[in-house]
Amino acid sequence: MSIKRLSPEEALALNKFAVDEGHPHIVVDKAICANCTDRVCLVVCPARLYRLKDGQVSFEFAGCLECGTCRVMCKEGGVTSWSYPRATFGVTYRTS
Amino acid sequence: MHPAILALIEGGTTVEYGAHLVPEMGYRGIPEKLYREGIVVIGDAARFGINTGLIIRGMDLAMVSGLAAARAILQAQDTSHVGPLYMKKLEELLLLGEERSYQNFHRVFEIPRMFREVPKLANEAMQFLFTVDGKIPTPMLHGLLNVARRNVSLGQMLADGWKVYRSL
Repeated sequence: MSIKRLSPEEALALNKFAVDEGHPHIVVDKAICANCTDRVCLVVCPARLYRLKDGQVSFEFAGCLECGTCRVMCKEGGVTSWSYPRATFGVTYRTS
Repeated sequence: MHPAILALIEGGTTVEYGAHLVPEMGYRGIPEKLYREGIVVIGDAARFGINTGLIIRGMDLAMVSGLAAARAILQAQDTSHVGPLYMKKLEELLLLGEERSYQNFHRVFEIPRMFREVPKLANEAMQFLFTVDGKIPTPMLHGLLNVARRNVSLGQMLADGWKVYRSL
């Protein structure tokens, strides 16, 4: 039995995104993240948009599935603002 | 992937990738109006979900509300009848009744201790009960009370217990 298991990158490539350049719908304060020890965002994001770069949390809003997990799970308040993208922007779900 | 699910999607291809939080508020979270002429709101969009802390339901409610919508649309004489008929079908299929029976449950999860202190208490209680280390054990009731006191005060325990009792 088989069905191909996709990496987050491969899975995201199947989606359609209209990226609102210059208007991130999630704002992350890296100064707060620098003092966070848990950094659950690195593991909970289903799109793996929170990554560790040179020991710092980096975040990319393009590719966001708009699930809200980071908003709920961020304990230190590093996610300072979370809203849905402006109308017509963001992820376009076609089948669900 | 669970083997039971794998058999159902065998040979399939992924067409889209999504993620989404589950509406957990239950009956109290359902929007006041679930239809307008030309639209009926079903499943997750209607916030049909039940979280009892032990199971989180939603897929079954999505299917049942889809069924209710389909029946309403098929039976309605006129588009303006679809909405009210849909609500009637939701009642007939017991979906709203099920939601109502758990309508205060979300209050249990408003207690912040439910996610930290209470699980820790349960773990420590089990550890105490299942530890055999060759020493004279603390009498069970006394030991359990010690574990409880380490995690929550008596007042908190009573207040939380009362809230849980009132919400079930």
